[in-house]
Amino acid sequence: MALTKVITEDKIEIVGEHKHVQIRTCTKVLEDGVELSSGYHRHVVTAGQDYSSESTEVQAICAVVHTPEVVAAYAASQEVAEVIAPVEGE
Amino acid sequence: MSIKQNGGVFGRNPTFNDVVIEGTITADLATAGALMDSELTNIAAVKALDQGVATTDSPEFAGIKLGGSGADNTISDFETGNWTPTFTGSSADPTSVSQFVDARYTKVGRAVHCVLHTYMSAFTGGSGDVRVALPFASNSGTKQSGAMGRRAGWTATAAPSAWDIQASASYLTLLTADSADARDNVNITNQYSTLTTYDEVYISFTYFTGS
Repeated sequence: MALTKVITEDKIEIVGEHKHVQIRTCTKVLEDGVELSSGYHRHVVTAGQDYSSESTEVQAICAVVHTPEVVAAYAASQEVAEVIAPVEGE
Repeated sequence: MSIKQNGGVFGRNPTFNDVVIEGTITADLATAGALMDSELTNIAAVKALDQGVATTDSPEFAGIKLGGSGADNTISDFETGNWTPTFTGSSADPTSVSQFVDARYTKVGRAVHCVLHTYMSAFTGGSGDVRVALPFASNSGTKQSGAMGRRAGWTATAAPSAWDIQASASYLTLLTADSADARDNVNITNQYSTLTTYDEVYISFTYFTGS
């Protein structure tokens, strides 16, 4: 009876105009090759974010999709989003 | 009438409006693979599905349409898991962070339901707005906001009353009121300059993704 833990990035998605890279990490516990349990963990890499600690595969994807144009567009969109317009009368 | 030749009557191919079978038809379900999910090609799985009982089979479908045939009637995604709600800053991220985390999500279609409890027991640096990472990026066309849950450890002027998620963002921002007056606007972003260790973020919230 051998227990093993297998961790894989089983889903990597590129979503939205700002090319968010969504990574799903799956952790499985196996007994003699038969799955006993599994669970998902999620995280997102946004344009402009440091992805040097990501897997080689994710780094390669980010290098392709997070172009300077995308990084600039995403940064600009968040700057605009943070401007909160005052409401008249308040 | 009897059919004597291979599918035809005296060499013809007639069309029948109704056919009554007397006896038993034996069929190989595997031959119906073009119409069925590949995991439903054994008799046990088909019977189980028909009878609504659990089996060891786990058929996967690209989507299920409920109450209509359009895209708006389709559920194509369900997932549960956890995520790491990393603290970041709009100007600079904190470093050397020691963080308590209990963060779980359930995604049904575009709706992501989250339960989050986190705080930093130690951190250095960080500047600008206090941001907390999300498990999925938000919808590109929608700004979303809601109320905070339990909170503890915050200073009087920094305690958040609400959260918001901007369009196409991968983080949540904490908001406080303009003043101690509860009737004031809640639109001041929490700053790292006011954040101390053990300031808890304790929220149950739902937001929408783009897909």
